[in-house]
Amino acid sequence: MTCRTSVRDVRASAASAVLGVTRPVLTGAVSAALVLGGLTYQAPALAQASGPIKIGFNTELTGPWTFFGNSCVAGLKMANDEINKAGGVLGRPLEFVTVDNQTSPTQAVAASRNLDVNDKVVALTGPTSSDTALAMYGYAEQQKIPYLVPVAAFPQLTKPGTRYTFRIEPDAAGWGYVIARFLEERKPGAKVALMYSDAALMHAIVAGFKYQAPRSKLTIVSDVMFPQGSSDATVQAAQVRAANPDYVIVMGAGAFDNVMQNQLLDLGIKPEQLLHPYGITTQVFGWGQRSAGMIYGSFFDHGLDNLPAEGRDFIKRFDAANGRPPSYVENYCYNTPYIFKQALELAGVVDREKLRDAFSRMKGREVTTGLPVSFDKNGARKEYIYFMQLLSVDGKRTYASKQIYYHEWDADAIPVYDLVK
Amino acid sequence: MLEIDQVSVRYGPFLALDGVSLNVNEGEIVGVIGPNGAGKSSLARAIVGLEPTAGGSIRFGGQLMQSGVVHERITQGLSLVPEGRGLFAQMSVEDNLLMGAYTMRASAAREQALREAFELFPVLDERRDQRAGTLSGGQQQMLAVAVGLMTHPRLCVFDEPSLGLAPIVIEQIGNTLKAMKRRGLTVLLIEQNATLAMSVAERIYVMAAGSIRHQGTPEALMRNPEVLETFLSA
Amino acid sequence: MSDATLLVVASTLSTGLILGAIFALVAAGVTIVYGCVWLPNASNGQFFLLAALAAWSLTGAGLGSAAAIIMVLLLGLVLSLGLEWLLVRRLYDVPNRNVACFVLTLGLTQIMAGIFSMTWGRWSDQYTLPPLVSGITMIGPFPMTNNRILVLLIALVVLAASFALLRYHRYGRALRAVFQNREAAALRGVDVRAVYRMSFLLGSSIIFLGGLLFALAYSFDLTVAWTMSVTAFAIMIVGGPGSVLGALVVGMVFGFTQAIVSIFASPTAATFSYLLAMLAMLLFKPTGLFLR
Repeated sequence: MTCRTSVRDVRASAASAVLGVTRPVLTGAVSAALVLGGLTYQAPALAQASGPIKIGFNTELTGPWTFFGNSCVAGLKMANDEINKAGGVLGRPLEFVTVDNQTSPTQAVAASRNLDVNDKVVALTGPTSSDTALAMYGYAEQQKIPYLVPVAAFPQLTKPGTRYTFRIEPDAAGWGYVIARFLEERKPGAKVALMYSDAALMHAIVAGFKYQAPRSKLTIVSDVMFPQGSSDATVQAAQVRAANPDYVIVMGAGAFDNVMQNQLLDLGIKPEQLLHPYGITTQVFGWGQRSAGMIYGSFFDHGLDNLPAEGRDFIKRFDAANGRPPSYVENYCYNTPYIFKQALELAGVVDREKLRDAFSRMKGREVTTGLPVSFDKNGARKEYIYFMQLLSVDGKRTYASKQIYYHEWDADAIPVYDLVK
Repeated sequence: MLEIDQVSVRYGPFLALDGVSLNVNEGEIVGVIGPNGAGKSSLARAIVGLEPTAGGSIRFGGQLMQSGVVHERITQGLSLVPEGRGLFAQMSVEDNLLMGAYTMRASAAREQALREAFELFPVLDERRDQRAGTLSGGQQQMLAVAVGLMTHPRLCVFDEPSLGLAPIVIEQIGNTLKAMKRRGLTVLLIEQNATLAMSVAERIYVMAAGSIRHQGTPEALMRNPEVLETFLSA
Repeated sequence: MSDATLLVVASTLSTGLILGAIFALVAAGVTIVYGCVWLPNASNGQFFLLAALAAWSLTGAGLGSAAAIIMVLLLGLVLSLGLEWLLVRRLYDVPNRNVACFVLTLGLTQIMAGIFSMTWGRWSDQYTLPPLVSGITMIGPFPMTNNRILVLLIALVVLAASFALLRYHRYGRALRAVFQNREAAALRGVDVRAVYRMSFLLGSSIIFLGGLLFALAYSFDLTVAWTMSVTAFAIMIVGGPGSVLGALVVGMVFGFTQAIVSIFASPTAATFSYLLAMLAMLLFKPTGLFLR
């Protein structure tokens, strides 16, 4: 049912296959005719008759998830430019109308409505926070707008009955489940402490971990949740230290993550005892050299073993453009325009319903890793995760890491939708 | 020392002072008496600048007081012990006295003035750490007088010092004022209690309805049947 | 006591002390302004935050923490002078200045919050300052950073100095006098408007310093402005407006309440626990614990 491997060889060829097959369709009169044909057939309500194909990119440019939102935009822009330079999609340029939701669910809904009503976007995407992604989920499902979630892992985004929402990232309850499996393997009977911010993503991870912990014979010795806007964890770090855990799972919103981590290190917890369920480049820079040795979860990292050539190339080009290597957020967001391209070309027309159907039946690949991109009936992708160990951090330029664990599993390995409501 | 010439004070349409003229010479105790509402307090407030004047001039030590800013007149040697005493009820007796010496910049000078005040009013020394608001009425008035005298002002204006006090306390206050005069202080005593004013002042002005009606020595005024009838019998 | 227990106790003490001292400092700044001028400045929290953000930017531009702090304090002085000249002095003679000032500064709060979210809010979501001093001092089993010890000392020294100023200095006495009876203070030769201006400058500078110390001890985000504003007002009301001693005592009570509740209940409960402490103290003494 589950297997532990590195990135499989087939992915490399699959990735190039995707690029190779789709390119000719883009250009020439064939695609133009397809577009026109589609449009005459289509309801006149959708005003995207000509000009660029507009997609709403509703993300976190301010607030606690700024790190993620900005990383995501960097990846998105690169791919979008590449696609448009190569002729666009269905003969038209692809335009992501980017708006800031301030990491606020209310703002995310307001911005979605604006994108829907004023910009008449064909689809929504962009959120990197589960809280904002959930808020947009309600809007998209209700207004029947295809909604591709690049980086948000809350399970309920693909709960049974979901129709218009498709999620690229594996679900977070699963991460919690795998962390327990991983720790069980590393140190049987380990004592584990949890420190996390009060956010949807963290609740999902904790729920998955708590489900699996007793089954993996782990003991939870400390369980501390911090409200949003917390700025100090001295007392709780001491409390955790006093409980003498083997591992501490740390996940703070924004830079509070660093605060918790530093205070734990100050108190003598070793980096090797620290586990972050997810880590992106800007986060790693924040952790700094003193955290070398710690473990973090990822779905794409420049330290991965056996990345295909396309992935290596992406890393090189992203680094050249942005001065730092990409991580999984950049990777998912870089893939987002390509996934749209694949789905739009499958749909053949710029139409919300047809795009939704295309998403649900597409058999694409991540252009960087070759990992399959296809969604189950609820819009979820296959489940997988890597654990990386941080080796060294070179200021804000780069860092070194190594892959220490890979796991993929069936979505129904744990009762995800019962664990997290 | 103090020359008030044709001073008026107006509250909207109401003329509280209507062309009042009076003068106080150095070393004198001058009394201003009159019934309630005669404009006595407005006069006291106009002298220190708490009330803007609507006409006329006030000269102090030969200098025209133009600016309405109170603290500048205080710095020039004027002092007012206002009606209601103007104490800081939640501050200690000592702090109140030190506030009286606020214009003295050197702390040594303030300490010296404090010692003198305690010599003059030993009861205040006993209660130096007590909050002013918790003193008896008589003690509060003592304190107000002491505060008014802290800086050795050239002219001290007292506005109704006898208000609400027992006769025996009023007599004490009269004695204090006389003692002050012997030390060379100039006093303008504004009083409703004519008996007190008559007993300490050398000259008296009688006010009614915002203007001066009579003036003279207490003896002369006592002989004036109109004054006796209008003010003293009342 | 086992090392583990000692560790938790020491960390609670240190957190309570530092948080309490910073609370007390900011409340002292608020209370000096309100306690003299009767002006409730609702935008205190935003000024607190502005100091912290300005220091963050300056250190980000390569300035040392100490130099940045001095620059920000000077900036605070200039800003307070400007604000006093432009707005605050116009309220001195307004009979209902309490309400007028509150509404005015509430507006200012909104404007500043908007500006912050459009500027600093775009640059980061959470901010920290490099420490003033490095190193760690062991307090039993508990390692306390020297930086936080220094922050605590600075806060306590400034609090003691403010207390002494108000209690024993001629100017401090005048400030208390003006608060109680403006006219009587004028009759003692006090230039009331000058005292107003001085206490506004002093109070604002202390609030600025509070923001700097908070930023040195903790990481912070834009929401700290609101939290600090509410906390400072609560401390002032409970401690007695105008009383620095009240600010110190109540600030410490609030700081320790937060530290203790966050360990025995949860950090979430801690964020409002001290407001419950405020209600409890107001039930017991509604006029405030201390007089000015």
